[in-house]
Amino acid sequence: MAKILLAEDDAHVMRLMSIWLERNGHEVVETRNGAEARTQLEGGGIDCLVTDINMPVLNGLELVRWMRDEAGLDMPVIMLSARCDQQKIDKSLEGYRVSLHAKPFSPSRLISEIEGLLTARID
Amino acid sequence: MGRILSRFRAFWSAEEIPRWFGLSLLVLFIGAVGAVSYYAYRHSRDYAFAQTTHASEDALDLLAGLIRTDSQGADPVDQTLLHRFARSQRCSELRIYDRDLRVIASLLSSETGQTLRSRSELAQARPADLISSTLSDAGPNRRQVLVRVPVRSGGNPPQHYLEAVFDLDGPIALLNLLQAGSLLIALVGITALLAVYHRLRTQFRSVARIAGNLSDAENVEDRLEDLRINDTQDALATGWNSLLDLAISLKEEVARSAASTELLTAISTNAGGELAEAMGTVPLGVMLLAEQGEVCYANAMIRRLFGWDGEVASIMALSDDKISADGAAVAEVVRSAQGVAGAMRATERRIEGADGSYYNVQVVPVLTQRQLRRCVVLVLDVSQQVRADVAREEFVSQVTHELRTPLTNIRAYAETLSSGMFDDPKVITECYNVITKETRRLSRLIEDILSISQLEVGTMQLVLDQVDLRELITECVRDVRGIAESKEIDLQVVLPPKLDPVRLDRDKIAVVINNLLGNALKYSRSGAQVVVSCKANEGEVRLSVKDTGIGIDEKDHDRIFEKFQRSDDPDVQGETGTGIGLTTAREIVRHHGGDISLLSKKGEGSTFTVHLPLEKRAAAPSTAAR
Repeated sequence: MAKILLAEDDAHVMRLMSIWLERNGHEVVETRNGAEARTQLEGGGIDCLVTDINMPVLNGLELVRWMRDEAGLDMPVIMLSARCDQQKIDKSLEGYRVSLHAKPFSPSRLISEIEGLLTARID
Repeated sequence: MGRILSRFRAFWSAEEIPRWFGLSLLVLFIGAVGAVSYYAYRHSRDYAFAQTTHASEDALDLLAGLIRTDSQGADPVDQTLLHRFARSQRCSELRIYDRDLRVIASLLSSETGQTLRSRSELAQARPADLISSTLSDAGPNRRQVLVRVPVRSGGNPPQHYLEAVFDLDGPIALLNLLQAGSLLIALVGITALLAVYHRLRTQFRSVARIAGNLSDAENVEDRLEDLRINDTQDALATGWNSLLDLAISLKEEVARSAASTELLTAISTNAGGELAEAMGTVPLGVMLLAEQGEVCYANAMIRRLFGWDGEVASIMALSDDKISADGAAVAEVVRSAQGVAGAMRATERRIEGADGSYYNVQVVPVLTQRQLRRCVVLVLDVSQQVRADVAREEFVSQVTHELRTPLTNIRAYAETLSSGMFDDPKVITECYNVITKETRRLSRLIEDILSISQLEVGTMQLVLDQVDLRELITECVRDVRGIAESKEIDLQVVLPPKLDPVRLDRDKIAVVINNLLGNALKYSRSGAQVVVSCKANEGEVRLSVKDTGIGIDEKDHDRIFEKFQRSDDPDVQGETGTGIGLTTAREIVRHHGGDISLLSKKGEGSTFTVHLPLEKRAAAPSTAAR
């Protein structure tokens, strides 16, 4: 049982991840952009962040940089991207300990990844 | 009198003395010489004749003193004497006769003893002294003189007479010979004089013509051809004409040289000249650099880029500290092209201008001997190409993103269904709904991409049918109502109670409506209103999508319809989009013979109106109605 923060502007993706995570017994906090997610992170108590890259107001990359560099948060981060410039994203996330998943993704595999990351953290 | 004087003066100052005058002078001269010669000849001949006659008379008188003949007959001595005398003195006749005219002695022996008969008047004469007479019967061209001398013996009257006929032709023949010789010499002299005169006259005539032509012609240097002497063949004229040819060719050479100098000046001085003017209009910066970075030539684009304004920048150099930022960037490329010992090497680099333009800077060394430090710099504005490349790259990226988004939902929801982990009927229905909706979204997206690619290659074809627009609009609105609700946007539809079917391509017009609706919802914030309306009016159907969203800056009104172009507005950039929706929509409408108009103001919303003709007007060439 973990508190997972979702940052995603696509309502269907958000809904789907919520269904899967809740079914696995996790608490889900839904936010529609990076700014909302930052507010939630500032509030504390989040165990894992699942975020999209392309979002209005504050995008996923900016959010991760803020939480690692400024807020000093070291929780696991899973990032979803529908973009094709994979290498560019990899380079900009270098050193930020982010697990990147390309869209379209498999919900079951994503859940396994989240579970794995949470378990590793507890250990 | 004055008239005669003036005529004489005119004659005297004439450049050329008339031929008749020269000939008259010549005839007069020859006549005078001939007359004088003839007179001299006659005079000298008479003088010679008189002298010879006197000599002959003296000689005969002397002979008479030696005669010893008496009345009895001739002395033999006398006979011998007569012969010797006749021989030495060229006597044709020599005789002695007595008072009775009886010949005592004669050169002709047959005459001796005879009585003289001929020349009766002379024979009758009994002169007491010497007489002489020219014989008139001597014949043509002969001159003879008869001399008669009494032979005296003491103080007695003469009893005998000595008579001789002298031939004077000998001395006169000599004289004639001398005269003929003199005449010949005179003739030769005159002929030589004539030849010299003729020669000098021709020469002087040529000189006179040259002088006349020179004094007559104005602007001699422009009319060299007029100075030519055509009607004479003498060496002076030929020489003069050759000199003129040389002058003309030199003049042409000077003109050619001047023309080429002008061309070079035009090229090298930036101002004036057709080449320089032409170079000023080409969309390419051209600059020739000398050693040390001095600018030998810079066309208009280079001067604009470097900020060298004004008519002609007399001294321009890359080291100039007044050059613009763009100029400095070009100068930097030139500096980087400098190799070892300052020799230039070919370099090409892209630079970004201060205003966001992109330039391709190419440094081309001028490969002439000892000119290794010279180079030509070409600057090409590639902003459009760069923008197009960036837009294309962005388009691919956006299309990928747009395709992946519905695909993500389809895959994820399908996997949710197939996992069997969710048995809540509400969840299952939701999954089916999302999959259906996202499939439709994907299909629309593919239709858009297909349309744009058909537009690219010009193969778009319309499948025309009678379409109920009310129904089509309602359907399209239904598809996006969910988005409107999630964004809390008030989506309204205003349709007339009745609308006749319109002949159009249903799928393509659906793309148009979806794109316009999608944009209206995408660029409207929560609480905004979007109204879709449609009405038939004046031969056309007007379909409007009006929103109270962020609006479009007037400067972007044209640009947003261009392919891959989106407004620079940060609000627009914050939303995802391919930049092909409006392009596709407008092209589809234009293929139907209509157009899309836009009314919008930044911050106040936008109204896109689709004008579709009820009777399809001239279609685009690539359209084939079926």
